[in-house]
Amino acid sequence: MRTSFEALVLSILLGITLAISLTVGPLVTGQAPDVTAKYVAGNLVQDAQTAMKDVAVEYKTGLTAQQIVYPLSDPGSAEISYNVMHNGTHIAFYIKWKDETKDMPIGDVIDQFPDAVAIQFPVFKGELPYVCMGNTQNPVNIVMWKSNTGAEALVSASAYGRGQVQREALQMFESRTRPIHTAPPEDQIWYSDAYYDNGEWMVVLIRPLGSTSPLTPSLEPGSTTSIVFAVWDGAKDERGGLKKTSGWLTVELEQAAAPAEATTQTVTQTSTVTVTAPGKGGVPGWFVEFAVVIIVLLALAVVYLLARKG
Amino acid sequence: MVMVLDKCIGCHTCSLACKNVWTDREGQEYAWWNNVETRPGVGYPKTWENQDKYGGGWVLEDDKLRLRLEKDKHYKPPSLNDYYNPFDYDYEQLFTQEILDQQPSADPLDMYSREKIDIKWGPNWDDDLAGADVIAPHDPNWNGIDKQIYLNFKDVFMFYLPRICNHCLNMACAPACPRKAVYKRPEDGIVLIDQNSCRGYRFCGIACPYKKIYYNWKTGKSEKCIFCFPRVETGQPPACTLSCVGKIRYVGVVLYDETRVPEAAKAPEDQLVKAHRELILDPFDPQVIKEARDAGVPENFIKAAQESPVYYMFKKWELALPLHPEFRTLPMVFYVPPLNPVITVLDRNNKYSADYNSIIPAIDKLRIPIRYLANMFAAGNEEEVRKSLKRLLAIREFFRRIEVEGQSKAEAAAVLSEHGLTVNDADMMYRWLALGRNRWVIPTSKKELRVTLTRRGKGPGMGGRQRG
Ligand code: SF4
Ligand code: SF4
Repeated sequence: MRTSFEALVLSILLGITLAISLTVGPLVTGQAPDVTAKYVAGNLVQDAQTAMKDVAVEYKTGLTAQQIVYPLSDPGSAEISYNVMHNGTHIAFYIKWKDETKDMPIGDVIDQFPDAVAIQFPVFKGELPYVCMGNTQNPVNIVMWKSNTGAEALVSASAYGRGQVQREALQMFESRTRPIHTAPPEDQIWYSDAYYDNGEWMVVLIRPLGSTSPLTPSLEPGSTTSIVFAVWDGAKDERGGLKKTSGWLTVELEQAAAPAEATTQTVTQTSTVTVTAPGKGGVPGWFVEFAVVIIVLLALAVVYLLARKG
Repeated sequence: MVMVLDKCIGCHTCSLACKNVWTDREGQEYAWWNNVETRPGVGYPKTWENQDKYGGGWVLEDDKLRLRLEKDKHYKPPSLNDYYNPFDYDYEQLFTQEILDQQPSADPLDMYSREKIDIKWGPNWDDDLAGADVIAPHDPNWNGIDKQIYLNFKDVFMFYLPRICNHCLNMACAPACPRKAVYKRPEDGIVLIDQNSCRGYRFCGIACPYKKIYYNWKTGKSEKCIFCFPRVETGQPPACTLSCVGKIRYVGVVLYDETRVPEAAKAPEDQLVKAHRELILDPFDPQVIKEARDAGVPENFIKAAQESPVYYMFKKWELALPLHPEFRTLPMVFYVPPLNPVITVLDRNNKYSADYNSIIPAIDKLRIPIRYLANMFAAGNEEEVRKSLKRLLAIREFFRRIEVEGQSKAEAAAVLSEHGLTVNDADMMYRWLALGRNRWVIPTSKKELRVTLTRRGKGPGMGGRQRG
């Protein structure tokens, strides 16, 4: 009798711990995020030229040349500065990096490559795959901006481009496992704008926080996600695996100031999307977290008392 | 596919048929999935055979095949300068010019900007504007030849070389693609690029030693010859083959041993043609038929393999040769080398004629140096070229003995047996090569019967079928 009661207590405790880690992950683990996506009320800056002068790029991250899988890059490094913010309905990435040449092949050009930048997200919360392109258990969602064609969402589910030796070992000559796909139309949710000036790119990438597609992770205020940045320099014929990448970075989205209300915000000049924007007032995020912790502690105390009685 | 080069008249009908069907659209103006170049010459794109420049094909190192591109990633994809600046003409001018004594003319226009341009190069410039003395020395096939001799007036030679994607057995394009967008269809061996997966990286285009992949600047993806698969699936030949004026193109299926492909691709250079031939299986061998059936190869394919002109010309008669086998991709388009002009001699009656008794022994005195053909079609192995040319001559000699000298078939057959051929072979060759009958034997595909390619290195069996 006592044993089964203990088992019940244990499972309740486990359930509570899980609830804590799901609701207030950062609080409990105490892991400081690498990046905080600040909450800002109102519209996010969409124009890259304005962003170049008005948006402070608070974070800096070093990128190193991809050296693991074919095609191997030349050794090298780069640095991006960026800022991430959200307004309760949309999240914006402002990414700035130096590139001496503006590579933007347009028209009948067949031997040149565009400058590009990408942000990669895990599709599922959980174990993070190797920084490049995910694997079959842990697919990744990528937004890739190219100077000549703009932003495109991709989904990738396997480390790609194994070297010849690996390919021979895996007998992959005929393998039709396609590691990367252009995401379906419902996942093409990114807005982009770019500006190049004085040897520097500023790329603005904005998407709605919510997503109904299983291939695009929803980003919620108060939660964390992980990202990897990559940049390509067209002048160096960089494309595909010839790139520079960061490691995984954790991004925490600040709590929105208020519960969201449905409203309409024009995100691009050509298309209008219906989104939810925060209302005024409401309960702040820290209060919710605090309340959850109190409830959990109370529950623990009750369980303990019951156990002693039994 | 087999192309019999003696019969190509360089009319470019094949290229135009292909262009009209597949590439007459924005982004592919410069692309000729089928092109015809003139040799000696530099081809299209310029000097494409020079892999030091373009980085295509495989390199054998310590018994391992590696893509040249993988060894050195700094190779660039070819530019429009390497191909040519595509142009059109201002046809309006033909109607608006004032009436003069001369014919009206139309100015060339850049196909992209529509502005007037000065044409400096074209997809078969070597032929269109001659100038072989300037261009031909840059042909990469002169290795081991005193090219000056052949650039002299009177000693000069030429032939046409039509080219499509070779739908190689050991293609270099597919493994070079990190996105695995390039693949070989197991049911018929056609090599395709999945337009949904291609990301326009152009590694395939660099890796293809034949430069038969064309980047489409409009779609941002690479494209290539699709062997007219929608036609082929219904038993019809590709557009280039159907339209070929010289009737030089032959299409058929062959059965081959997929598991031995890597081994064949690693053969020593002078053995590459032989190793390639050994991959092709005898479609009459009961064991081969059984294995083909077990692997799911449909009956109509087995029957077609038994009637395949590709099987006979490449495997059985050893007339046809692969283009640049040293690139180690095991290309599946084969060429019957040109039996260039037979040098005439003053005969007994003081007339210039071909002294036929000496033709076969004097094969090395033909106008096109054997070495040149061997560099192009046999990785330098001259014996492969000699064997093919001798057999072609033996057939002519056989019919000459019957028609001109009145010998019986049995008497004339001596010249055939001397070169390993039979009267039946000669009759078949005559029907195919001279009359051009049944140039394609194409079984219709049934989707529900599709087989899968055996993974390389695993187990025995038939890897599938390959259109030649
Ligand atoms: S010729 Fe061979 S290597 Fe080139 S595209 Fe065709 S199959 Fe690929
Ligand atoms: S159509 Fe035939 S004869 Fe004319 S160029 Fe093409 S391959 Fe040669």
